[in-house]
Amino acid sequence: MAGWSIFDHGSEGNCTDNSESNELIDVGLLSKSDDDVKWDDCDDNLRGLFDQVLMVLLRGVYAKNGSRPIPALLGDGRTVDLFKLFCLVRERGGYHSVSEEKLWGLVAEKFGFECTMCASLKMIYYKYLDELDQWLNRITRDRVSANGSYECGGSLGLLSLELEKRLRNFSTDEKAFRMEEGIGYDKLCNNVSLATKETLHLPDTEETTEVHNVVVKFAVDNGERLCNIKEFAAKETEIAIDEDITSRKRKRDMFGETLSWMIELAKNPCHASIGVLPGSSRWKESSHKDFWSIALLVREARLQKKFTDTNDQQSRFLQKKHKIHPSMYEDDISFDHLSAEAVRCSKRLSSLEITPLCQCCKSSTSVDKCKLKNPPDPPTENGLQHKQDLENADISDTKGVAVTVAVAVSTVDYPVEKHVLVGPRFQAEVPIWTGVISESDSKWLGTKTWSPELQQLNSIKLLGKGRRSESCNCLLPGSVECNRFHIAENKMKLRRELGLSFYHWKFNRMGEEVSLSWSVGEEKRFKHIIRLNNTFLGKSFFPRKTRMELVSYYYNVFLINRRSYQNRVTPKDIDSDDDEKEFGSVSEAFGYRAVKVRGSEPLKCFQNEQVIDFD
Amino acid sequence: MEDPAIYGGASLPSPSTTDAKQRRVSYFYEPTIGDYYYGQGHPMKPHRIRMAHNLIVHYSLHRRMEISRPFPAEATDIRGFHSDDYVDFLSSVSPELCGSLTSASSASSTLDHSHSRHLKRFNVGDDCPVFPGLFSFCQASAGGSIGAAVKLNLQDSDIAINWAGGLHHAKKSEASGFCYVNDIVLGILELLKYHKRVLYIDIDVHHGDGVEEAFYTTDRVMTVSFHKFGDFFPGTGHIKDIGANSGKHYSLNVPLNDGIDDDSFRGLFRPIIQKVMDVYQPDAVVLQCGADSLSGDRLGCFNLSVKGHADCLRFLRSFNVPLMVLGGGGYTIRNVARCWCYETAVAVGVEPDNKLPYNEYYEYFGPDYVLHVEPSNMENLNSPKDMEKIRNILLEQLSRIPHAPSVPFQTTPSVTKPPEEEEEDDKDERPKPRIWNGEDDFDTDPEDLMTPSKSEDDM
Repeated sequence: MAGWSIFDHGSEGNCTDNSESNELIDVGLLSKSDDDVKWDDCDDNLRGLFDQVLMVLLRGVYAKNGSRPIPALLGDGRTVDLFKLFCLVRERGGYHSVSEEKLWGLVAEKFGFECTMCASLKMIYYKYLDELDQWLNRITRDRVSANGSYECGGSLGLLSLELEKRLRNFSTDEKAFRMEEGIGYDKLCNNVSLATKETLHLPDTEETTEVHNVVVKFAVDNGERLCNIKEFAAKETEIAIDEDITSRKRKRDMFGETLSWMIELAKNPCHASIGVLPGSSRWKESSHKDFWSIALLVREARLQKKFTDTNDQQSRFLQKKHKIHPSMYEDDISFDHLSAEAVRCSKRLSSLEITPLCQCCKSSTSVDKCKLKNPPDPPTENGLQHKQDLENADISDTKGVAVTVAVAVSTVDYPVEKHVLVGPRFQAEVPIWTGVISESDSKWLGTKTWSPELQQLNSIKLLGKGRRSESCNCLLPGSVECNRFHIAENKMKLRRELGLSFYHWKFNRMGEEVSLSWSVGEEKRFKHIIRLNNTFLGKSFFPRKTRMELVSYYYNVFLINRRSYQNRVTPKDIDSDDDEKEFGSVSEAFGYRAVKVRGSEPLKCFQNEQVIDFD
Repeated sequence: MEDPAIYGGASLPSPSTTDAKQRRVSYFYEPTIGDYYYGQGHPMKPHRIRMAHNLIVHYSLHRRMEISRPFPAEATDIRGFHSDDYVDFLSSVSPELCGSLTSASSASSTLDHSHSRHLKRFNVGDDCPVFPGLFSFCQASAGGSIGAAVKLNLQDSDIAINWAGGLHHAKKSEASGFCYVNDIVLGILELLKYHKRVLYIDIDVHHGDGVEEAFYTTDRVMTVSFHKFGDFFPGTGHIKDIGANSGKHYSLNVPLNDGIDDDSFRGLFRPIIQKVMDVYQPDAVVLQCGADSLSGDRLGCFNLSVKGHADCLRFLRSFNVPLMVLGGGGYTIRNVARCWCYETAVAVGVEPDNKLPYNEYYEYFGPDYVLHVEPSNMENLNSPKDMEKIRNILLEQLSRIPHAPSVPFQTTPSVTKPPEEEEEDDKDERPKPRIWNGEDDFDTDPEDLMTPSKSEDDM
C-alpha cells in the first residue's frame, strides 16, 4: 500500500503546486498561497502564458510519444513547478549548458530537493520542456543575447514579450487541434466529469471526501485570457483543461500503465484509443486485460481491503463524513490540511466564477454554471449506477436498498449531499400496532431514590427559591470565602432535608470538599501538570489516584478555582469548557490572591470548617 | 384528562396561575454520571448532568418529582435497536485494548488488527473516543430513557425526564457525534409497546439523524427536528427529507441558519408542532432538549435564551400527552445546567428565582450567579422571509398526512395513499389558512405571562 500513501502525500501537494492552480492564482483572483515567494512574484500573466503554451505543445508531443501528465511528478510524488524549472535552466544557459556544466544538482537545490533528484529533474526537463526550449530558440534566435541566457525578474519581460507575440500562432494551432478532435465543448466536459467520477472511488472513508473535494475541474476559457492581454479579444477559443488529481498519481508499478490510461481518459475521454466501456453486466466476466477492467479491479481491491467485512458500512462511507467538532483534533494534520486545501480549491474556482472580467468571461461563466446545475447527464448517471451495482453485487446478504444512491456529483462547491439510508441495516424494527400491549419490564423503574411523599409539607413554599439577598454578615460579601461559607451552609441544610438521598446522589462528592483528600503537594502538582498542557490522567503523575478521583478533582475543585478566579479577575472572559484554556488560576499571576484562600488564614467565616464534616 | 383540542396551544403554567393540572414528573439520575470523562479537550462533559442535578435539588424542585436511579440497560436490551456486532464491540472495547494498539508494538496480533478495523468500522475514534467506563455510561443513559418510557407506559407519570439521554446521533451499527447508544430509539421502542403513535421532537442544534434514520420508514413514529443546516454536523436534515415507504411524510426537518433567536424559533416551533399535534395526534411525545441550541454554546450557533429553549417544553406540556424529556448536546456546561434545571422547573410547574441558590457549583455561574443568561447580540441570519417560506413548506408537507388514522389496526399503505392523491388537487389552497391557524395559537398565547415573571427575576 506504499504506493497509495505516496499518492496521498502527492495529492496534498498537487492542489497547490499544480500549474493550473497556479494559473488561477496568477490570473490574479486570489492571493498567493505558495511559499516560494520569488517564483510567485514573477509576472502572473507570464506564468499563465507559459502554461498555456506548454499545454498546447505537449498535446502535440504526446500524441506521438506517450503522455506527459500535468503536473510533472517526481518519482516520490512531489510535483515540479515546470515554469520555475524552465526559468532556472534557461537562466543557466539552457538544457545543454546545464548538463555540460553539471548544474543539475544546483537546480535541484533551488527546488529544495536533494541532489539525488537531479537526474529526475533532468528527465522531466527533457520530457516536458525540451520541445518548448527548441521552439523558443527557433523563434527568438535573433533576439536572445549572445550568451543566450534569460534571467528571472528583469529579463523575464523579454520572455513574456516573446510569448505574447507568438501567441497568435498558438491560437491558430489550437483551433486546429480542436477541429481535429471534433468534440464539442459541452460533450467534452460531460465526458470528463464521467471520467473523473470513474476514478473517484478509490480511497478510504475520510479520503473520499477529501479527494472528492480535491478533484478540481477547471474549465478555463482560453479566450478570456487572451482578452486579458487585450490583443486578441476577438478570438474566443475555448479549451477545457480538466484535471483529475486522483489520476495524477504516478506509480512505478504494474498499475502505471492503467493509470496513464485513466489520465488519458480524464483528459481526452472521447479519444479513439480509449475504446468503448462495456456495460456493468460484463464487468465481471472481463478477462482483466483491458485497462478499464484493471482500473475497476484496483478500485474494488481498495474497497475490499479497507472494509473487508463492513458491508453494512458501504453505503455510509460513500457519504460525506463530518466531525461534530473538527477543530478539537489539531493533531490530525493530514485531515485538516487536506480539507483546508479543498476549501481553498473550491474558493478559487468560485471566485473565478463570480469575477466578471469581461464579456467573454461572462459567457464562459454561464457555460460553467449551467454545467454545474445539471451535473448528472445521462451517461454519467449510468456510470454511477454501474458502480453501485458493482458494490451491491458484493453484498449478497443485503436486502437494503439505499434510497438515494447518487453520491452528489458536484464538481466544485456543491457539497456532497447526505441522504437517509433505508434498509434493515439502518432502521429500527418497529412492530405493527396490534393493540395488544406487551408488558414493560418493571426493572426499568430503577431504584427509587426520592419520592414526593418524603417531603415535609411545611417546606413546600421554598420551591424554586434562589438565594435570598446579597447582604450577609460576611466580612467581604461576594468574596470566595463568603460564597464558600454560604455554599457549605446550604449543603448542611440539604443534608438534613435529604437524609439518605444526599448520599445516594453523591452530594458528598460534589464541590470543593473533594480536595480534602488531596494533599497540598498533590494539588500543586495537578496545577503544574495542567499548566504544562499535559493530560492530568497520565498514569505516571498520580499513581495513587484513580482516574475517577482525578476527573472528580478536575471538575469539583480545579475548574471551580479557575472559575472563581475568572469571575473576579476577568469577568468579561469566562470559560468553563475549554480544557486547554491557558489562563485562570493555573498561574500565580496577577489577581491570583483574589481567590486564594487556603493558607490565607484566618477564614472569615469560622463555620466554613463544617465542610470537613462531609468528608 | 383535558382534551388537547381545548387545552392545546394555550398553556403556560406560571408562578401566579399554576397549571390547572399538576403533572406527575419522574426523573432519572445516575449519581456517578458526572465522573465519566470523554478525555481531555473533548467538549462532551457528562459532568454537566451532575451540575444540572445539583441546581435542581438546590432549587428544591425534587420535591415535586419522583427520582430514580436508572437500571443499567444490558447488552441484550441495547440490541433492541443496535446491531449485534456493534453492541458486542461496545461492551468489550476498552482504552487498554486501544492503548496496546497505539503503542504500535511491531508484533501486533490479529486481535489488535481486528480491533482497529472495528474502531474504524463503528466510527469509534476521534469524535467518539473509547474512554474508561464507556459502556456503563451508555448503559446508564439508555437505562434512564427506557425507564422513562416505562414510567409513561405504566401511567406512573405524565412527564419523565432523563438528562443523561438524548444521544440522538448514534446509528444502528455506528457511533456518531459523541453518541454510542441511541437511548432515544430504545426509549421510543419501549413506548411503542403501549402507544400507537409516538412523536419525536428534537431541538438540539444538530440534526437528530440517528432517530430519524431509525424510524424513517414507519408511520408509528414521527420525527421532527429543528436544527442548523448547511455545512454543519451531521449534514443531514434537508427540508426535503420527509421519510420513505410507509414512513413517507412522517419525518419533518426544519433547517435553520445561525443566530436564530427566541421569537423566530417560537414562530416556527409553535405553529408547526401545533399542526403536528393536530394532524398526527400522538399518544406520547419525546422531546430531545439538546442545550447546544442555546446562545453562546461552544459548538452551536443559535441564539436562544434558556426561556426560549424551555418554551418548547412548556408548549408541549400544555397538550397533556405523556411526555418524555431528554438531554442531548450542550457544550457550554454552565448554560446546560441552567437550561435543564429551568426545564425541570417548567416540567414540575414552578417558576424558579433568577438568583441562583448557593450550590456546590456556584462559581461556575459567575460573575452574575443567575439562572437566566441574556442572548447575545449576534446577527440572526434567518430572515422573516426565510422563516415564512420554511413554515409554509412544512405546513404544506404536514397537510399531506392523513388526519390521525381513526380506524385502528389498519395497515398503513392503504391509509396513506388516497389522501396523497387528493392532496395534489388542492394543495395550493390549503396551506394558507393552516398557517394562520397556527399563527393564531402563537399570537393568542399568553406571552404576558413571561414578562411579569421576568421582571420578578430581575429584582
